[in-house]
Amino acid sequence: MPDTTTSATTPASAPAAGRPSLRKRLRRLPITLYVGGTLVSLFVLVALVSFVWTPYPPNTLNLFNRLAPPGTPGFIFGTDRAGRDVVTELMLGARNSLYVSVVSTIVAMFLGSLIGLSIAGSKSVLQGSLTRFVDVGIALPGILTALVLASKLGPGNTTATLAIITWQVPVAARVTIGPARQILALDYVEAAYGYGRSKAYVLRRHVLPNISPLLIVLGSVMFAAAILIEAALAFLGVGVQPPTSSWGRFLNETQSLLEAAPYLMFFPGVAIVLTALGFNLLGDGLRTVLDPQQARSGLA
Amino acid sequence: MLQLRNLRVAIDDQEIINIAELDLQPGSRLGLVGESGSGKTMTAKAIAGLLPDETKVSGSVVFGGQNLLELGDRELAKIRGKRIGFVFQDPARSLNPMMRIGKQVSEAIRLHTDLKGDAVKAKVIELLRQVQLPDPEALVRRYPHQLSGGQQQRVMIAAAIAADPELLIADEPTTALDVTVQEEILRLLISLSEQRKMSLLFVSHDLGVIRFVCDRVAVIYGGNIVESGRIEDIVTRPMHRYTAALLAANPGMPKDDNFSAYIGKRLQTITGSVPAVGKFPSGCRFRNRCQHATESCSNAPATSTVGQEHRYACWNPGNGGR
Repeated sequence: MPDTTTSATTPASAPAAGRPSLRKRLRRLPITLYVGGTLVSLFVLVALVSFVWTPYPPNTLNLFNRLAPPGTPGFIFGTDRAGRDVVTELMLGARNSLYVSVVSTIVAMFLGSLIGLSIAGSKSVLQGSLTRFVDVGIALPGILTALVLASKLGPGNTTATLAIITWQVPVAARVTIGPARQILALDYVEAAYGYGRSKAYVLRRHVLPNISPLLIVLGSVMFAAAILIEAALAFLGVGVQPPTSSWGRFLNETQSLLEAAPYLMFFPGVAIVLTALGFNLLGDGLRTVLDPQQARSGLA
Repeated sequence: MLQLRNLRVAIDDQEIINIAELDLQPGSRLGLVGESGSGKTMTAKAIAGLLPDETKVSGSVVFGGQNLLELGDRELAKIRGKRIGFVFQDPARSLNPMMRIGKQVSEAIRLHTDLKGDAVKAKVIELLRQVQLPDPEALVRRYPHQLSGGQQQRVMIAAAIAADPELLIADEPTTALDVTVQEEILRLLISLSEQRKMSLLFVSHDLGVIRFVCDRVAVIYGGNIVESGRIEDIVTRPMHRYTAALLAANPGMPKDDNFSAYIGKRLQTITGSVPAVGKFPSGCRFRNRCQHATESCSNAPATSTVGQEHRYACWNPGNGGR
C-alpha cells in the first residue's frame, strides 16, 4: 500500500501537497454565498442588537414628530403615523421575524426530516401511499391553514409559528424522501445491514449524515419562506398583534398612508425582501459548495 | 455448517433462483461461479437475508442448526455480522463516505461484543493489522476517499471479520480491483480463512480466481446449480457442458500458463448471453446456447454423481473436449 507510506509520519489532518491556500479557496467560493451570508448576518445582528439597544425604547411615541420624513434629526428613516422611530420599529420587527422563523424552521425541519426518513425506510408496499399522503399535505393552501388556526387559537406569534410549521413540514418531508431512498439503495447501507445493524440505526447514522448537505440547504430556503410567511400573516392581521412590532404589520399600516407618506412602505418592504433574498442566496451558495454535482445538474 | 435446500427466490412471481442442494463444510472454501445474471450474487444475498423485501424467498438455508429464512429481522441481525460476515463487490461504494474508517470497522464489534471504549479501538487496530494495512493508528482517523481501492477492500474485510464470524461471504471481492491488488486480497482471504478456521463462500465469475482460493466449487447458471464438487475434479473433468464452455472461455485455465500455447489461437466463446428472467428454455436452461444440445435436453436433467461429491445435471455430459 504505497500511498500511506509518505503520509505515515504526518497523520490524517495534514494537508496534501498542492492543496490551494486558504485565501485561494475562499476566493473560489460562490459570490452568492458571500452576498447571502452578509445579508443574513446583518439581519441576525440587527435582531440581536435590538435586545440590548434600539435608538428609542420600544413603543416610544413622539407625538410632535408624527410622520417625520427621513433625514429628520434624531430620526434617520423618519417616524410612522404614531411618531414611532422607523429604525427602532425595523429592529424590533427583525427580532420578531427571527424569533418566529427560527422556532418554526427548526421544528419543521426536525419533524419533516423525521417523517421523510421514516417513509423512506418503510416497507416498499407502503411507501407510495405514504408519499401521496405527504403530497396532500403540500397541496393544502398554507394561508387557509393559518386562517383556520387563527380562528381557533386567535391571532398571535404562536398561531403564526404553528401555521408555518404545518405549512413547511410536508415540504421538508417530501424533499427528504427521495435522497434518503437513494442513499438506502447504496452498497454501504447494505454493508451496514451485513454487520447486523437495524434500519433505524442505518437511517440515523448512515442516511442522515449523507443527506445533511441537502437538509442544510433546505433549512436556509425554508428560513426565507418562514420570514415571508410571518410577514404575510402579520400583514393579514393573523400574526403578531400590537404593540409587538413586526415588518408585516408595519407594511400593513403604511397602506393607509400611501398619500401622506408613500416612502414609508419601502422600509418594511425592503427589509423583508433583503432578508428573504439573503437566505435564498445563502441557500444557493451553500448548495454549490456542499453538493456540487446536484447544483450543476439543477436538482435539489 | 451451511446447507441450502430447495432455495427459491422470486420477484413478481418470476423464479430467479432455484437451488436444490448446496452444502458448505466447516472450514472449507466454496466457490460459486457463473456469468453475469446467473444468480450468484442473489444466492449470496439470499443466504444473509440481504435481499430487498419485494423478493420472495422460500426453502431452507440452515446455518448452525437454524433455518435463517424462518428468523425475524431481529434474530437475523444477531447472526449477520456476528456469525456471518459479508464482503461486497465494490469497496469504494461499500464504505460510508462520511464515516471514519475506525468507526466503520468497529460497527460489528460495538454491536456484537461487550467491548467498550479503548478496547474497541484496540480491537480495530488489531484487525487493520491483521488485514495487513500499514500504520493502522493513523488509518482509523481517515475517510474512505483517502484510501486506494485495495486498501478499501482490506478495510471492508476487516469490518466483515470484526466479530469473528464462522462464515465469510465474499461477493466478487476483487472484481473492482486491478490484477496485482487482486492477488494480494485473495491471499489475504485464504490466510484469514485458514488462521481463523473460517468458512468462505466466494462468489466470482472467474474460475481461475476460484481455483486459486477455493477447494470446492458450485457452477450456477440461470439460478440453478448445474455442477458442483471439488475444484480440481471440476477443472480437470468438467461434466456439465456449461462448465466445460466456461473453462474453454478462460485463457488462464488449460494446464500451465504457457503463453506460447495461446498465441495466434482464438479463445472459445459461449454464444449469446444469459436470457432475461422468464425467457429461459424449458428443461435444461442452458440448452439454447449449448453446442451439444439434443432433444432430450428439453426435459429437466437429473442430477448424476461421479467420483466423490462431484455432481452435475446434464443429459450429454462430456469432458469439454479435453
